[in-house]
Amino acid sequence: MTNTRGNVISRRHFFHAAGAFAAMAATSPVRADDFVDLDLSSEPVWRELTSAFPQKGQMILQRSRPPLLETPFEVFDRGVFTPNDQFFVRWHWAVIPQQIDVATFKLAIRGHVNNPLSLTLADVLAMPRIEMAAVNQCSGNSRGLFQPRVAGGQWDNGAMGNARWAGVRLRDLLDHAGVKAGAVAVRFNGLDEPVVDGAPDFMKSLDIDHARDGEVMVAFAMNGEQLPLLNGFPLRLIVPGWYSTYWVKTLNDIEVLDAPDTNYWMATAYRIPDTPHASVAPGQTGFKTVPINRMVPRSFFTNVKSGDRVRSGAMVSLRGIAFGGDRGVAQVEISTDQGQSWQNTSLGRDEGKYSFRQWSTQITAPQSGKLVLQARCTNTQGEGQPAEPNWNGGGFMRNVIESVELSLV
Amino acid sequence: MPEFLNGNVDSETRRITGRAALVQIAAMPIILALGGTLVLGSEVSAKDNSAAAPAAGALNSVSGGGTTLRSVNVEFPDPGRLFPGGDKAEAINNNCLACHSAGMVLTQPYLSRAEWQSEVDKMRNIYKAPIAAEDVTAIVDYLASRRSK
Repeated sequence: MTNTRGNVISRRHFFHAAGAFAAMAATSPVRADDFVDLDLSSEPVWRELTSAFPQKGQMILQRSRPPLLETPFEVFDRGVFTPNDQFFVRWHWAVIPQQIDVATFKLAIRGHVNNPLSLTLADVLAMPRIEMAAVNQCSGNSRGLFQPRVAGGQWDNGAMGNARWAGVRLRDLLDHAGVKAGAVAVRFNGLDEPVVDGAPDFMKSLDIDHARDGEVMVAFAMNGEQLPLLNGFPLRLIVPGWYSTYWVKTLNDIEVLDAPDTNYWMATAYRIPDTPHASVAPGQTGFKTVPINRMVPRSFFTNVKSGDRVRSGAMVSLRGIAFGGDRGVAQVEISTDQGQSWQNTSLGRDEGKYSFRQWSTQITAPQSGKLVLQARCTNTQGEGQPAEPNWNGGGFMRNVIESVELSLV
Repeated sequence: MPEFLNGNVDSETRRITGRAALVQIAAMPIILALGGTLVLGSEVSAKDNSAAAPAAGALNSVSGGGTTLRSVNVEFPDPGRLFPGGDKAEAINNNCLACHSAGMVLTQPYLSRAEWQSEVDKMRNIYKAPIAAEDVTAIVDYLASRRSK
């Protein structure tokens, strides 16, 4: 299954079930469509590809229950909007509703408010709406590339996606309920629940000013359709520019707090070192931590990957996607000489500052040796990507300049 | 009922001894007390939430502003495999599959025994996994034997 795209010859990336089973011995999975090798930093690098999940197409299976499903990376070459049926999936707890009745579903807005509300979906659909393209990226996207290795979901780069979200402003919902003086935060809870009593229900919160910034949204549509259940149907919080941990799925409870949120998922989990790039030395202790928050710039090649071969001296078209984190993309540059020099690329259509943006360029392959390509994004605030990978024990916020290494034939 | 609860499963990767079966049976009241959620085997039922549970066969929709939302009723796939390894996997199979499937554990990077111990401790202390104290060592042994260097 060699693919040729222009002058690029793809290495054989997928392998079929029959040949793979022998190597997998007793852990042989069932019902895998196929398998894929990820570019992870440790064995095993293979994962099953599965189409077994409802409303989802073919996904990389990182965990079946609770589901962790990664987007196959070639999907990102097809455009800046990630199809709903291949948008990544990440749940913390295994008790996830499998039925949602839109006629009886209610969204509560309560707590430190004058007028607690219980809204139906019809109520929400009747409100003024906004639309916005925004990248949704797991805090631990690319954790599988961390060195030294860290425990947790071993994602390659596919725990991210970009969609056009439609919904209502959180600010409008809060105003409707009448936030009382002294409110400091807003906490969000969904219908998912822990399996075991006493375990911490998954909840996240935002500072009151952030919650009321007019951009944070309660979305009922994703790329023009209702959300797949596994992506949060019927309502999902959208926090543009911030990591996905805040984008609470199957959102049914909004609670205004008059004191900082001390729940486990804010006070203990999803904390990052309060250092540049959230980076510390392995083994380091005693640093201050803060809740993970805004995203940082990243850029990727989507039409070539390490191991691909190109013809010596040929013109090679390169393209990829980038995003600026919590700002727009100002430029994407590539280097063919290990970062000694950088050349600008052409940017595709601007779908909004929180969206993926496509970039493209052409290079001439050298006559011999190897070709190491790097891409880097700078956002409209002038923030770029580090040359050295960050490290923290959570495996969070990777945004090092990525490299792909091609061989010449 | 999941077949390994019956204690009569004897293939290499699904071998459950009589003792394990007794543990499973003893655990059933606890499991059933968890909001009626049967979690050990091939399915997880939706939690009992009247707002989210439609009447059988209901397929409602609501519309507004040009958007229509339709009720959903889906099933998640069988999470599949047990931890392989026969007797050595007994403790991990009995204690860990209630909350999560086996696959991601087996794809973790190599961790030291101490790191695996702290992972199991986190599952017990923070995530409230009801793991009997006498099973902790067997679970850590299993993880260290498979996923340590």
